[in-house]
Amino acid sequence: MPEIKKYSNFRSKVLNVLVLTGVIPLLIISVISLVTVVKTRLENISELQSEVIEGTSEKIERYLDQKINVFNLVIDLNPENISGVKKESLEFIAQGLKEAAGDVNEITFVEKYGKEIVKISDIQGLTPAPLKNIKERESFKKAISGENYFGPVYYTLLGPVMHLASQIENKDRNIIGVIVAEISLNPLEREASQVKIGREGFVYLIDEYGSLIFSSNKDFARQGEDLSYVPQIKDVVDGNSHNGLAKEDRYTNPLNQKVIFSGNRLERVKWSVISEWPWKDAFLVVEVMIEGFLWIMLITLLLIVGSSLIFARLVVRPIEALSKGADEISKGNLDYKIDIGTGDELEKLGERFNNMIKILKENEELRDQFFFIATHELRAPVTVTKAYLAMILEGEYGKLNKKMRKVLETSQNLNERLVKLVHDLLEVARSEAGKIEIEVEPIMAVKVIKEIVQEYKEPAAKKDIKLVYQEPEKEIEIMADSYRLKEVLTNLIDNALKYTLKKGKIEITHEIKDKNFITHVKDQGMGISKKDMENLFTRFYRVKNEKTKGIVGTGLGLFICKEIIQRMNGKIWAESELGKGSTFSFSLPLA
Amino acid sequence: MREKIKKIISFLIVLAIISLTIFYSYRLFEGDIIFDIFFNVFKGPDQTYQKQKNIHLYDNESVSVNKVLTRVYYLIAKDKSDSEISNWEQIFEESLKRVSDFYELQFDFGMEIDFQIYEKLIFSEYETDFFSDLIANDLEQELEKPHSESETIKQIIQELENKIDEKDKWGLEIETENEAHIVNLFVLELGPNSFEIENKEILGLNDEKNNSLVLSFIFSDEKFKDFSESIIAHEIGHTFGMPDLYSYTGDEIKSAGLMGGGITRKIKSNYLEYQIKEKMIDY
Repeated sequence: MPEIKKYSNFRSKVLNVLVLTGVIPLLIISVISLVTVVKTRLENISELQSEVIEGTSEKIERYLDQKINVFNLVIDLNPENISGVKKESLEFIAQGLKEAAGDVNEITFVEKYGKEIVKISDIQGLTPAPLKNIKERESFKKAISGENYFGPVYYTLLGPVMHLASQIENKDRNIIGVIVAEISLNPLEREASQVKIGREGFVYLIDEYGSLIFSSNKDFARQGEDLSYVPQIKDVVDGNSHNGLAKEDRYTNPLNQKVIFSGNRLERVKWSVISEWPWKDAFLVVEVMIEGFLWIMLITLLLIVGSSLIFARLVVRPIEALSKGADEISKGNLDYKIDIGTGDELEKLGERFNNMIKILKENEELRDQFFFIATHELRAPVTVTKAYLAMILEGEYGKLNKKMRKVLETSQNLNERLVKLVHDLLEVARSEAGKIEIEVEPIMAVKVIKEIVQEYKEPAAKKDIKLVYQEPEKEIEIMADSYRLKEVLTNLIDNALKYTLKKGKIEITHEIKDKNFITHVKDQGMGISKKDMENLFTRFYRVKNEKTKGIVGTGLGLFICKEIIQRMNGKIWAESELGKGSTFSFSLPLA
Repeated sequence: MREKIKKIISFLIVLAIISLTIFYSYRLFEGDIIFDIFFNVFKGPDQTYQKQKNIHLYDNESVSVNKVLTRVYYLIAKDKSDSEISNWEQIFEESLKRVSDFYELQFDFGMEIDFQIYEKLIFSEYETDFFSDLIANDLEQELEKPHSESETIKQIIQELENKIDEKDKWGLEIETENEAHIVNLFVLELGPNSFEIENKEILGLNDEKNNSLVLSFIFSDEKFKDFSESIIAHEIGHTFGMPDLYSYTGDEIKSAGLMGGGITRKIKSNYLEYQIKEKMIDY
């Protein structure tokens, strides 16, 4: 048995292609765009943090420069040692310098051998402030050697302080002493604490030992708190810069905030300027963007899928219309009109299909007309021939010898077949032309069927076939044309007799189902194959095999039966098993 | 059947492509900020912070001073029984509070230092001259061996042991089982101008144990009032083993902080030197 080919769904194919060509590029573009946006934002964050760090560093440098420049004193005299200058004058100068520098807690003039000679102090508890020898102090040693000194940051209860030391030079630019000053870093803190990045980003300053000098985020840590336990901070304190781009620059800080870390060390004082920007705040814009992007993508995806569905439907609908039209034509429905309103090549194709149907219909009508006329014109001569042959054989025109009788009997048989063929062809022609006359009315079914069965008793007996009619107990009234019912039954019994080659039984039974009167004609003939069953009720179709070779027939009987039964609002069908026999059934509505 | 197998194979191929794409995307972006943002997670390096520091004596790492209790006694010489500082309890309390704040800041809030002031005045059986002699001797000794032994402190402890009722648990023996490191601070009343004894200035004394002595004039004399708290902090510093950062023979100072020249600073402007802190803190 040949395998039935399965066809895939064209609409699914169109849909898949549209979705794939729409969605995949969209996804690729989206991912590339998002990656680009995030990378760019990360770089922006890094740049912004660097700018802030740079700005803060500049402020600090300026602050320190301003202080140290004030303390770099040149005296317009030429003493060997500052101690050679009058104490009152030095006190006056010291006071002036203290005021000029600002934020000075204590200023001390130290002669070139390390002894303090003038001290103006706001922090000493003892008045006058004690003057000591500080030759062992780092500040003195460095300043007297010609280098400016920036001491470590110390944390007092009043805020961070640091020591600066610079040289006092005479007119000849010889170092004749040192100025040591303690400055408060509170003003620096006040200025830098205003620095913000975004809404939550902040900057802080760490001294060379890892302690917090100040932070623009007051909650970050206490002033003076040692933060060197944080590896990132320790790393900057050790002189390594961070720009916020490395993986380790994103960390959870001591406040348990996830931040982007950036930092740089000021080499002069070894202070680290660090910026931390909470990740959430820094990427808020991107997050909002991603959220919007995802929504747009989702909507676009839905639009693509939706429009693909519609487009696929638009493409497939005309094809389906054409396909349906082709089906209808193959069924013989030449009145079918294909309607495609796409206004394009497909609509043109539909119109061409309709033109083709029109031509087919015209041809069909011409053929039917020819067929009807031909059969109608044939019927009269064959009927007259049949009458003359009968009359000759009955001896109306004289006695016939044996040889003549045999020839004439053969001619009569052949003519009988021709009569039957013409009759059937005419019936088909009428049916197709809609000219078949059927008058459906309440009739007594059993009576009609009984008459036909009775007529076939003898021919059946001749073939040694038992014709059994299971007659219902009472008469049944159905809606049918009695003449046509007889024609159907005649055809079915005739076929049963023809295709039962050996002796057997033909059984006619009835049943009533769903307000329908069903008649079964069951034979024990040769049976019909499944393949033949499919075309059984098609005109001119005949079962062709070795067994049916000698059986005469037109191939129109079952087609006519089907046409008649359908016109009487009934149905006809058959069941068969090859070699065991067939059952032909038809139903007609009860009256 | 063939159709079904084809479908299954196609499905498996698509599944494999998707899985590989996800896998390599994950590998590519793992730990990257893009990955973090897409999946709203933050995967920085794991970090746990060990902030707690161990603070110990300057010269003995095995004795922790993360918690310190300073017990304060006010002892009055027999001949100065009517010279006690008025409101002494309040003055001591306020001064000691500032000393406490100072140390907490200097040790990065890792040191908790409490004070308890013995609420009664303790009157000595000895007069000012007796203590002056002892102090003068101690000052002589100190030049040779600083903060080693102090006869004055020994005498005071001996006297206090007899006078303080044991029942109120104010004995002077160090309670080693106590969690806090205990320091005794004796304020000795020898009357005004007692800072110069036999032409030597005296601000405080220590022994090699945990005892300190300051003279009461630091609270009452206008000259010392402003830095009395620095003097106390300085002497307590010695009980932690901190050395002086100035010379005993001349006027040389090695530092402007508390253990150096800073002893005369106001406490609020004072600080502890890094060279000392570094030796006392285990990072």
